[in-house]
Amino acid sequence: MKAGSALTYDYIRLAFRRMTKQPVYALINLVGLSAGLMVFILIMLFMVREYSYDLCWTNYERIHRIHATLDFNGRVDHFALSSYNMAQSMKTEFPEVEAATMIFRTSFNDDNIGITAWHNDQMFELPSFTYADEDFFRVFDYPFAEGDPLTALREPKSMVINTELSKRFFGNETALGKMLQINKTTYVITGVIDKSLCPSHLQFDALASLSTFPASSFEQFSRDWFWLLGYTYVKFIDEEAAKGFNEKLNWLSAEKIKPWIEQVNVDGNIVMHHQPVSDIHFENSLQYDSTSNTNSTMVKLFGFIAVFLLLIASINYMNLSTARSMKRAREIGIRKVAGATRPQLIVQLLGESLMMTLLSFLVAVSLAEISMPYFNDLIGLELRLSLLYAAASPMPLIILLASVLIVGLLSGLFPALLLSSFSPVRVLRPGMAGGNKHGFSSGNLRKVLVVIQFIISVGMIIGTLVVSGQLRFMQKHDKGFNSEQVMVIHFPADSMLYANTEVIRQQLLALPEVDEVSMGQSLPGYKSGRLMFFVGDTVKPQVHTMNLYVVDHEFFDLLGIPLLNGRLFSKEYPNDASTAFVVNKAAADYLGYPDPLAVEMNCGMDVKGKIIGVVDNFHYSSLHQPIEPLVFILKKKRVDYLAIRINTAATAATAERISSVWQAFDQKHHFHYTFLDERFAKQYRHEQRMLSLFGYFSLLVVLISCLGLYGLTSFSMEQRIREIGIRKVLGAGRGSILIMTTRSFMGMVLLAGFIAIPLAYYLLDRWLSGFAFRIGLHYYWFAAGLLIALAVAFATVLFQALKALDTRPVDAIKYE
Amino acid sequence: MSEIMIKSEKLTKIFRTDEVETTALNEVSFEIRQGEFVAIMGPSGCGKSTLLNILGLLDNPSAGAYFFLGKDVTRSSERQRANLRKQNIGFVFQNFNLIDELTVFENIELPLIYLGMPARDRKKRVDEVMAQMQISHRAKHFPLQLSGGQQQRVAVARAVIAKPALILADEPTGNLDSAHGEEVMNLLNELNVNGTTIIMVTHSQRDAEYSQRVIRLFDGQIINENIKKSLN
Repeated sequence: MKAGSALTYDYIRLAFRRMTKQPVYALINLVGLSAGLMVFILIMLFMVREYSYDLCWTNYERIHRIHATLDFNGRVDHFALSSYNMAQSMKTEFPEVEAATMIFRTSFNDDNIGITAWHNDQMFELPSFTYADEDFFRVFDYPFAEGDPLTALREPKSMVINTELSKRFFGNETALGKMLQINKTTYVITGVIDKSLCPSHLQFDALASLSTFPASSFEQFSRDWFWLLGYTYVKFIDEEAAKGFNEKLNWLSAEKIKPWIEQVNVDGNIVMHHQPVSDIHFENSLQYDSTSNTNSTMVKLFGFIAVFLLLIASINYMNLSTARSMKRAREIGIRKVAGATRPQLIVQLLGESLMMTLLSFLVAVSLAEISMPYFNDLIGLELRLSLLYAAASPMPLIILLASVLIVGLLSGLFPALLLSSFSPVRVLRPGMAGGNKHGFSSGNLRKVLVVIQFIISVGMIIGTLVVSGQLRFMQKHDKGFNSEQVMVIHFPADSMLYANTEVIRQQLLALPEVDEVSMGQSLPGYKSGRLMFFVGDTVKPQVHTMNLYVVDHEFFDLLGIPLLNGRLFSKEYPNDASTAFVVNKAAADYLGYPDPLAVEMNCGMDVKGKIIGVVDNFHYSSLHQPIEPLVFILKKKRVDYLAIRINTAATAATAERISSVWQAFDQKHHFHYTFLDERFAKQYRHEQRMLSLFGYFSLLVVLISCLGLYGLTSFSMEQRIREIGIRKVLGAGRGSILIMTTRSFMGMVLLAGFIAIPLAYYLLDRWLSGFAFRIGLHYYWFAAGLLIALAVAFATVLFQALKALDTRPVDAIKYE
Repeated sequence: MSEIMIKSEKLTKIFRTDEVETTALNEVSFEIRQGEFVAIMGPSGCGKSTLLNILGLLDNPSAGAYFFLGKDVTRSSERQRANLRKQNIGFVFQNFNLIDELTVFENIELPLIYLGMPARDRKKRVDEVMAQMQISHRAKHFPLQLSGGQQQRVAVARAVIAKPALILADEPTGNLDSAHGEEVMNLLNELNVNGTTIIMVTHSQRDAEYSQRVIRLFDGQIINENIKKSLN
């Protein structure tokens, strides 16, 4: 064995012995670093996943989405959508576009309601499906398990499904050529794609060929540039081509769209934009964008939290090592006397921190693996450790390992420099506890580091309180309608059932627990459609885009939405379905007429007439958004949702009885129901998840900080035990000693609080500004955060201080 | 006459704090030849330990010059001093200064590791010295499991393991009862007989009897030197 390796062996052996001899310090470091690294690994996985959206396509940087901004009367709406004509223009007008494709938006995407599909008399559920044209796979080159990407969507009634569905529907048999019936159309499976390898904003389980629509539909589609019915993607021939493309889009507007707008005599404008497909996942400003999109600030915030946790754990290591440096000074002195050089000692001490970090890393990996299912549950993703090493780029793994190395070095560097600087002359003298000429500065540094830990802790506690406050506010806020005890059945698209709606209603009403039944295409908490309304003068009407609710006569009554002015839809007026509009107060205000009831209006849903009533505002979407203008029309035939107000508690038995009534009419579809308040609350699942994560992370931050504080106090008490003894001999009471021993620690936490509060205020105010309806940032959130931190820190310190109080003065004085 | 190992010329050490300036050594000059056994005596605070630290290259003098093995080491770098130290000097302390987390064997082995000796040679050498010090049966024990006398024998074993030409002993029997103290003094004497130079700081007149020469310090100055035995 060479001398170098003998030294290494010596160091490792010694480090292990020290750990077993001083298990408390070792445990504090191990627990802190392991927890920090575990969270770091989990958040890394989360970030790897979030930053990998839409990067898997060949030449993804050449793929862009075309989207439209509509401007009517100064009301500007940014959509992720585009019209059929826009997609067609991309295919035909621009040589720099190598391929263009359109994929339809379907309401299925938004609501996650399954669609029933039949294969050989077997009923299956398709989670979601939509239509795309035949060029789709030229732009998005999903790996095909079966079929030919270039032709899969060419023929009408072709369908491509993902491997998961193929396995579920057809087992190990080939899916190619199999038939699937959805409503009245029978599709042939022409391809099976593997979607699991590619996180993408594209949310579908099955794609049907756009050519399935009859020719007459395409005539309709292409008649209207304003009709935003899907998403258009282009693949440029090279990256350069994307740069000047805005001008080309402007040219398209001037040459094709402007003339059409003039022709249809509408006071509006369309502006088209393009954006790289890899930017979409963090896009939040567009309406009707992918539901998988997320907020990059949130992702970064979690990144910061991961780094904070590691920092806090490193600080523990630094603080405990430097605080205990006196105890190790003798060993360092002896080694120096025995011939150790300072670099050798620095290597030894850094080696110790690296070893501790590596050990913690191993524990952290196991912990991460164990906690993965819970973490996945919390964030609603399916992460696995293999994402780190099986990723396309080795970067995540490099970053992770580099972080472990940095944490090890960062934790050990200062203690190593400090300890190795000890002079053996000072430390080896009998009765000399230590020879630390840096004693003062390392003590101050420890204080600074503890303050940093508690800035983060206090900030996280306040953050958790405010996030939970906002969430509670949103959940408890008066929505303006009564969402309780309303059961919602998702109504399948089936003309047979549409014909029976009245019978179904009567049978449901016959149940004693059912008070009221409403059927329509719109309900609060679900996506509403947006439509152009032509208001006023019939020659040159004003065009306004407003949200549309298609409802029945019972809708307002069932939800308890009060009428402010005029009347509601009524069976006494049989023409209401084609001549009457009801608007909410926001719409009445927005239109700005002194008497809204006199306003003439028409829209593309074959309704032309007057506004007959104004209802009060209610929150039909989440409290993120302000209450926007909303127009109600009476449904004709189609029903999407059936809402049932029940008069008893929503028990399983009630649901069972209602579902048996329903199933007497329909066995051909999967039966889905939910409760309106649950559905509405689901809109806050993002905040709910964030709160859970925030809560857990704050807990860890506070816990690790307090572990460090515990270690530090126990050390400080050891040092002061003689002083305490002497003070006791001189007559100091318990109270004064308690104050003396806890004061400086409490001071540090208090200082941390005063620094944390303005920082937290700034960040939380920014977060809350993303909500149209938000809580105020009251002083008590901050006071509570600070008090909690103080209380937890005090409890930690008190535990040690009480131990010191109980030592007999005579023992303390003998201590030497 | 053997060669001069240590030459001190007007060695001065001044300790300064904010308010007070203490002269620990005041222009101390003397020579020590190879193979000598020298005791340094004097009351507490007279500068004995300070002198020993400078002689052991653990500390620098404030003024004067120090020649070790004919080389001026007064202004040597820490690295050079560490090198000279590990090759030539062994230390024995009053409070033993063993590393609690290392076994007897590992404590004794330590200087050899820093000298870069291969493992097999180290083991052989440590075994020899442990036998010589009669502590072989304690090889796997930790210092705190040993009596004071045994601990000091381990410390002496560690001091001699690298076969240093010079052993510096700072009150080696100060923490021992008289029987154990005598054991340790016999060990040192034996080493001296075999050619090792020994400089020992002591309060004990009895221990000083083992030396050939006593340097008496008072207030940082040499007040007299007695040569008791003829040199070998």
